[in-house]
Amino acid sequence: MPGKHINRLETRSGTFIDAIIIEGGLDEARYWHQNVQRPYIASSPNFRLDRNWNWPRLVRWLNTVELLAGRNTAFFQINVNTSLGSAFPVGQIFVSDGYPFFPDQRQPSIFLWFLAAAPADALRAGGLPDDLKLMRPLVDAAIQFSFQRGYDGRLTLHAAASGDRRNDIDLYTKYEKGVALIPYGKRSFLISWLRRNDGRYFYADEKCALDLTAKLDYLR
Amino acid sequence: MNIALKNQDIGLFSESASERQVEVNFAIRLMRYVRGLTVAQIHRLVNSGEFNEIFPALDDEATRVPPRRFEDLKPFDYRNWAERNRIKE
Repeated sequence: MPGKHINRLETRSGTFIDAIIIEGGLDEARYWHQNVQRPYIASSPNFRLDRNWNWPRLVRWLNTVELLAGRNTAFFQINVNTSLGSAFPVGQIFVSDGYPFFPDQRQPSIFLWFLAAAPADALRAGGLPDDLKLMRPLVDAAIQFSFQRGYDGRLTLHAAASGDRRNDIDLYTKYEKGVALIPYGKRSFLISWLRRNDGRYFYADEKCALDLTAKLDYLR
Repeated sequence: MNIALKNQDIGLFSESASERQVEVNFAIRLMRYVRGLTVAQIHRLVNSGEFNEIFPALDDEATRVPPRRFEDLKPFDYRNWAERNRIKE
């Protein structure tokens, strides 16, 4: 159902939990920073690409940068219902509205700038199952926003490189195989004027977006 | 140059006209710098933490945000977003 956001999440063990996609602001960014980022991501013993991210600053400043470039932004957060009835943020994305679509730059798309999912120990601390499936639902939030925006689900993103080959391959594989986005590859050296293509860009065209939407319809 | 931030509760510029002008000039210079970077370069800045040094905190990030009831959350309202962002359908 294009344009309709999910309202539950699934665990790897096949159970479901109520969820909601909300539009975040600085309070939501700060809540994440205080309750997820600082205690669980910044100090994680495992590799995390988002270890140094600061969401309040990303949300505030990237919004300004994009606005001055003539693009709107949106910050989405997935919250779930804990057993105590409180809301707990389990993932979030920051997107830009109107980024040129790589395969046809005359068409606008939603550009997914940043995506973060709460680590397992943060979920456990929130009294939640620690095996929530989050990657696809987070990308789906951007795709549904693209449908709502009238972009037919067109989505673009760049799988950021960490410099560590194994982690870089892992993230690339998550987008390519896990989410089933289309790699842009190296087929054009320049993404746009003077924007070098490092081979880590992905996109969803309308067909791909509809396929991804259908795969998560059971969560809507 | 008239710049009004349209995103939810993200007010950036001061109300004082003189202070606002300084902030806007700074933001424009910053934008020119950032726009000169590729997406991959911006991602590197953010991943390395340099972004946090370039872009300062404008408010107290340590101010506690109280938890909310799940039932009090409102789902994303596209029409409201489009109206605030002056989208012409």
